[in-house]
Formats: sequence, C-alpha cells, structure tokens
Amino acid sequence: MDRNLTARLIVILLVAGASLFLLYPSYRYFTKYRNLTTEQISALSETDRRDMRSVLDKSMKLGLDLQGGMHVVMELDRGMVRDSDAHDAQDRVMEILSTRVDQFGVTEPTIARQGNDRILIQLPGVDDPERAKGLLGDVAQLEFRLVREAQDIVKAVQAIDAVLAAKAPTTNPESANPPGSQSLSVPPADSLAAAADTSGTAAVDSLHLPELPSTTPEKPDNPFSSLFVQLQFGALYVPDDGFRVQRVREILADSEVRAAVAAAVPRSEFMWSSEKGPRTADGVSARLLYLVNTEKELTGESLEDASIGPDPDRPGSMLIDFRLNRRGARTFSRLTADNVGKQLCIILDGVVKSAPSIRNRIPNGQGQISGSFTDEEARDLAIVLRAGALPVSLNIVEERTIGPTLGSDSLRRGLVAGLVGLGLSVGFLIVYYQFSGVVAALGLTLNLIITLAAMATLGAALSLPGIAGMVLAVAMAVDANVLIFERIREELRKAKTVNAAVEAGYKGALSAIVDSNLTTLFAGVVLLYYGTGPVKGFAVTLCIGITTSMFTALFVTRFVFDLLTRKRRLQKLSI
Amino acid sequence: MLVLIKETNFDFIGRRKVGFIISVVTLLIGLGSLAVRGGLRLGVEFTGGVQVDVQIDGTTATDITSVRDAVGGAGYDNRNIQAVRQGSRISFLIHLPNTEAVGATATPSTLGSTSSDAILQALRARFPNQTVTLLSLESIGPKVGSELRGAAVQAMLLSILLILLYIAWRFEWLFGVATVTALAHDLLLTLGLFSLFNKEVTLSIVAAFLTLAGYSVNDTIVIFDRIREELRLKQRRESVDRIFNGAINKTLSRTLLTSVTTMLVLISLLIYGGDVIQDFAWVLAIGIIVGTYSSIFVASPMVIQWYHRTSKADTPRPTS
Repeated sequence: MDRNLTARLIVILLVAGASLFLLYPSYRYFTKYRNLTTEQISALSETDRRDMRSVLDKSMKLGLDLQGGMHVVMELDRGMVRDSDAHDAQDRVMEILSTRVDQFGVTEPTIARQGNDRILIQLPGVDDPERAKGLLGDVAQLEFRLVREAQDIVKAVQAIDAVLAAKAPTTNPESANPPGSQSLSVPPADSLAAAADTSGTAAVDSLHLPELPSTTPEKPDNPFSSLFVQLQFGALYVPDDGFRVQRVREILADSEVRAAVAAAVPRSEFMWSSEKGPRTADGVSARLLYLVNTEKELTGESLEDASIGPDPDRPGSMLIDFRLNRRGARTFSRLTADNVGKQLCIILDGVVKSAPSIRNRIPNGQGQISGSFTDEEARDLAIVLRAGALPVSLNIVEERTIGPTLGSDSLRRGLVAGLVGLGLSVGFLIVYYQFSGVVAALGLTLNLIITLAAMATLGAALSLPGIAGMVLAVAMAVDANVLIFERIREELRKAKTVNAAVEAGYKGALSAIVDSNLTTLFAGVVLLYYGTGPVKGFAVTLCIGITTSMFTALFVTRFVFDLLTRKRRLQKLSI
Repeated sequence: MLVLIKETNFDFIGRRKVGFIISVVTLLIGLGSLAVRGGLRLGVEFTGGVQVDVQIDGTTATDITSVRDAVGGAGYDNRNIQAVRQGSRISFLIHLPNTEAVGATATPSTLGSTSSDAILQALRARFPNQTVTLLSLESIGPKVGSELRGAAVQAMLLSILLILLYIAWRFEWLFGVATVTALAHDLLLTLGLFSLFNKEVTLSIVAAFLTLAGYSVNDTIVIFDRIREELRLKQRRESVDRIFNGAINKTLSRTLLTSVTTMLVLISLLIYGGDVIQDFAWVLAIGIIVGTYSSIFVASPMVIQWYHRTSKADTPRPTS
C-alpha cells in the first residue's frame, strides 16, 4: 500500500472512529436510561446518575414530535412598547419565562428569541398543557423578602427530619442511597449597600454557624438534612445530581412537612434559588435553598430602574445600581436600617434570584448590589430587577402539544420505516452490483453514522421532517453510487481494463454528483436560514447528509476500489 | 452481471410533442381541480385554528357519530371531524376554525387548550369506561398561520433562484431556466394531483415538496451533465438531437435504478410510516415519477427547442 492510500485510510478511520465515539453517549442513553421512570431514576446509584447526566448531555436530541411535549410561541403585545424598547422588553420577558420554565423541572427546555417580538418555548415531555400555559401566561411577580437566620433554618430542618423519621417506613424508600461525601466551597456572599457607599468594607459576610450533619447517609433519624451538603450564607446547598433536588422538592410539597415548618418557624417558607453553587470535582453543582419570610418587604412596583457598572472594589467584576421610587425608598430606608447584616432576597416568580446581605442603611432609594458578578450575571440580575414592572402583556400565538403516546409511536414508525427502506435499497444495490454493491453499502452505512454523529454533536434534534431530510440525503448517496457504477460498466463495455474503467467511471460521474449535491445543498442552506420548526429540521439533516454523502460516495468507496486495483491489474470486477 | 436494461436508443427528443401534450393535460386537470376546489386544503398550521387529535380506547371508525355528538354538545363546531387510522389504532382528528376555537370567553392567551380541555371533558363524559388520550393539540393564531404560509413560499422561491443561478453558472443560462421550469412543472403537477385527491397540506407535506424539489433538480442535472459532456465530445456534423437522445439513453439505466431504489424506500415509508409519513411518501412517489419524466420530456426538449430556434442545432458551441 503506498503512502497516498495509507493517508486516505487514516482519514477514513479517523472520521469513522470519531463518529462512533461521538455516537457512543447516544447509544448508552437510548439503551440504558431513556425508558426509565422517575422512580427508577431515583433508585439509581450515585455513579449511574452521574453517568446518565453526562451521556444525556452528549446524546442525540429528539424533536418534540418524536418525544412528546409542548411548543409555545408567545408574542409581546407591542401596543405599549416603543420600537427601541422592544429588544429590552423581550430580554426581560425571556428572563421571566426562563425562571418559570425552570420551575417545571423539564429536562431540556428551549427558550429562544423569534423575530423581535416573539419568544419560542419548547418543553419536552410536558403533557399537561393547561398547567404549563397558566404558568407561562401569568404576570411577573418581583418581591423582596428577608432571609431567615441560620438558627431558624436549623430548627425548620430538624422539624422536617422529625416528621419524616416518624413516617419513615413508608416514605423513605431511598435510604439505600447514601449520598457520597462532597465538599463544596462557597463564593463570597453578595452584598447590598447604599449607592454612595464605596468604602471597602468586607464583602464576605459568611455565617459561621454549626454545620448540619452533611456527610452521613440518609438515616431514619435525619432523612431530610442528609440530602444537602452544607448550610452557608443563609442557604442550604443541595447537590443537583438529578435526584436530591427532586427529593427535596417532594418533601417540601408534603402537607405534613409544611405544617411542621410552620409550627417550628412561624411565618417562613423554603424557597429555591436559581443561583448555582460551585461545581465539585465530579461536576455536580448545588442548588441553593433559602428559608425566607412569608411577608414581602417590597414589590417590583417600587423599582424604577436598574443598570450595571464596573465594581470599583473588585476589578473585573460588575455591580448593579438600582433606583426606587419615593414610596419604595422610604420603606427601603427603614428596612435596611433595621436589618443591617441580614440577607435580603430578590425573588422573581417565587424563585430567589439573589440574596445579598445588607451592609448599611440605604436612605435615598439608590442602592448597589455587589458581589463577584461577571458581566453576564450582573446583566441578568438587572434584567430581573427591571422585570418587576413588566411593560408588556403576552399572547400565545402558536401552540402544539404532542402527547407522549403519539411521540413514541412516531419515533418507532419513523425508525422502522427508515431502516426497512434503507435495508431494501441497500439489498437491491448488493443484488445488482454484487461486490461493488457491498462497497456502496459500506459507504452508506458510514454515511448514516457520520450524519447521526454530526447531529448529536451539533445538538440538532431529530424530528420527523429530519428523517425525511435524511431519506433524501440517502437517496442521493445511492444515486451517486449508481452513477459511478453505471459509468464504470459503460467503460468496461468499451473493453477498457478494470483499472482504467474505475478511473474513468469516477471521473465521468464526478461533475454530475458534485453539481447535483451542491445545488441541493444550496437549497438546504436557504431553508436553514428561512425555515422555522419542521422546515428547519428537514434542512439540517439534509445539509449534513449531503455533505457526508459526497465524502462517502466519492472518497470512501473510491478508496476501496483503488486499494483493489493499485497492486495488481484486475481482470474482472464484480459490478 | 445483472442488467436491468440493455443499451437503448429511444428517440425521446423526436417524441417531445407527446410529452408536451401529456404535461399540459395533467397540469390542466390538476389546476382545474385547484380552481374548482378554490385552492388547496390547507392544514391548521397555515389557516390558523385548533386541531385536536384524540384516541379513545376500544372505538372504531363508526364511533365518529358519538364523537360528533360530544363535540357538538360541548358547543363546538363538529363538522370537521375525521377518523384516522394509525396502524391498528383509530384516532379522531377534530378541527376547529379560528373564530370558533377562541370563542367569546377565551382570551387569545388561552387559545387552544381551553377548547381542547372542554372537548376532552365532553368525550370522557361520553365514553366513561374508555381511556381518552390526547395525542396531539395544535393551535395556531391566524397571524402566525399566514406568516408560516409566507415563509414557506419565500424559502421555496429563494432556493429556486439560487438553483437557477448555480446551474446558469455551471452550465448555461438556458440550462438553468430549463431546470427551474422542469422543477416548477413537477411541483405544480404534483400539487394539482394532491388537490385532486383532496389531501391536506400540512407542514410535513411542505417538507415532502421540498424533498421532491431536491429530487427533481438532481435528476435534471444528471441528464444535463451528460449532455454537457457529449456536446464537448461532439463529432462534426452530428446533430444536437442525436446528442441529446444519446445522453438521455446513456443515463437511462441510472435513471431507472435510482428511481427503483428510492421507490423501495418510499414503499417502506408507505407501509410502516403511519398516517403523517404516508402522505409524505405519497407526494414523493408521485414526485419521483413526475421528476424523472420531466427531466427527459420537459427540461431537455426546452434546451433543444432553443437550439433549433437560434439555429444552433447544426453548429452548437461546446459548453463549458
């Protein structure tokens, strides 16, 4: 084998190897985890759950039409918004909507801008459209509440532990799952100060209080407290390992538990935060859970504006300036004077967005929130603050719900139909072209593997129109092979040698293949940019499929023939 | 060596008038059907409105009257309800026009699910012992409907323009025009037949037409590529008609083989695909026949006709 051939073999093996490697997570996900129920998932071991998350991340996504779920397009009512503010309004609405969608616990929600006055939301697996829409359509609620002191949190947690321990035999099936010992470090807490105050007072305001038992397995006597790793800065850290957060949610929803919390720490409730704790070595970050007052100190109506600027004390990080109206300023002045050192939660739609500690009194309604905010975090928080008084109302202009039954049915049918069709045409090629047909079949299989791997890597979801795009791409790949083989036969009839016929066959078919594939590719690219939803799904698989089919038809099969003809002069070719 | 067809020498170009008549007649039938029906039957995606697909265990297609009663009883338009077969399963497709679905009480922000919830309740009351499952719900505001329609048409036109430019660059202007004409011919003809069978245009049907467009262009280009090559190798005094015929005949076995393999895929889609995919496969099956035909009888004769008219027929320049 000469150097040229070796180089080509290496290219082919690299591409094939890389594709298989990229597809492996999808294979693992679909064979091992996809069909598990929530209960089965919570019964998985720690290692398995981590494995599931990592393969899910890299796995091929399915479109809503194949897995069921809800697709909603909401339109901003532009009546009240000036054009120049439209983008800003859209930002604020997106922030509100993502907060709400997070509450759903949907695995992979999509929230995307569409044009300049629409927002697309996709919730895979959601089969209660009414509830989902209620949540999406509500008016945003921004409020400020005080965080409870750590002693209160300890009291509440102990009360919950007591309730659960009493119910243990029936409600504690997870006791077989000891959480592994984790260590988390905590970033400096954010702080809240008057706008004028730029003195470099210590920003870190950690509450060094007795840590809760954290590394012990979930035992009958502390089933609840064993679910989180620590208590710091007024928040409980619950590892987001696909199980514990869910379990804590369930526990907190229990009516007996709620009653116990109310009895132990009156006028308080637990509230999740959208903030994430730092990641541990094994890639799990923690969700923060706060115990906050039930009464609100201030609502979004009091906020006039919020903007971001560089933090003079912390080079490279940003802070948020906000301004309250006169009534808000008066309330805020009293509130901050009385509660210096405590944390104040900024809550949007029932989710804590930030919980800075109050550093000093803020008399004039002009405050600053500082912490180690990146540009983006600061901007998001400013958007949250401004979302309080949302200037637009939202209309649902498009809604699709695919039930899970129909989704899985379509997936099964699409796969069976696609595979049988592929099998039939490959079978035909092999019968008709014999050995050369086998070579073509190899190329087609590789083509399919590369296409799927590219989709998994690009995060393009597979949908029914996507399967249609793949069918067209495969048909064109078959056509490319037919063109080449017919041309080789033609040359053989002219009594050329096998080597010359192969050479001339590929050369003669090249321009037709390139021209037809490129034309289709152009059309595909146009559709990719213009199309929405299904048309886009079609275009993505088509474009990927066409590109890979040119590679397999012109490069891979050619390599096999060259390998055969290079060394010796073939007398006959099975074609 | 297995050979489907031996070397052939049909006079396709000489019979182009026959092709012309077939095309015109079929186009007229299709367009006539379009005119009589007042346009295509557009799916809910394009018209706006609500479409609810419900499965009721243990029902057969004859239960549609009970479904109609239940929907009508809930106060909704029950004229447009279909029983749809998906393999062994029957489901009922309930269409509500936009005005009906939004109704007097519902605000636009509660568009579809209000009606679907009411309908599901009515059906559950009607079939108390069976499980009633919501298979899918689609609810499209009137504005979005017309936008989707516009976007689909725009995308189609823009891609046709690009195809035209590319082929004009790679071949000659005329070849581009002929390819696009053949493409338009295929799309219109299939659309006409689609209307004749009164099928509904949904987004997946749009995908099918896009696939058809791809196939049609591909097929034309393969033949044009061969014509371009033969023109380059042209002997003196050989007539253009002969060259075109030769090119078509030489690619004929490829044309048939590709059609057969693609048809095999489509047959599989028709058998196993379920309702949605079946309509898709239907469009493509028609499209492949029409697309193959038009490459030979529409695109190539157009170029020939032009050669004749500009009396290049005897002394054509080899094209690049």
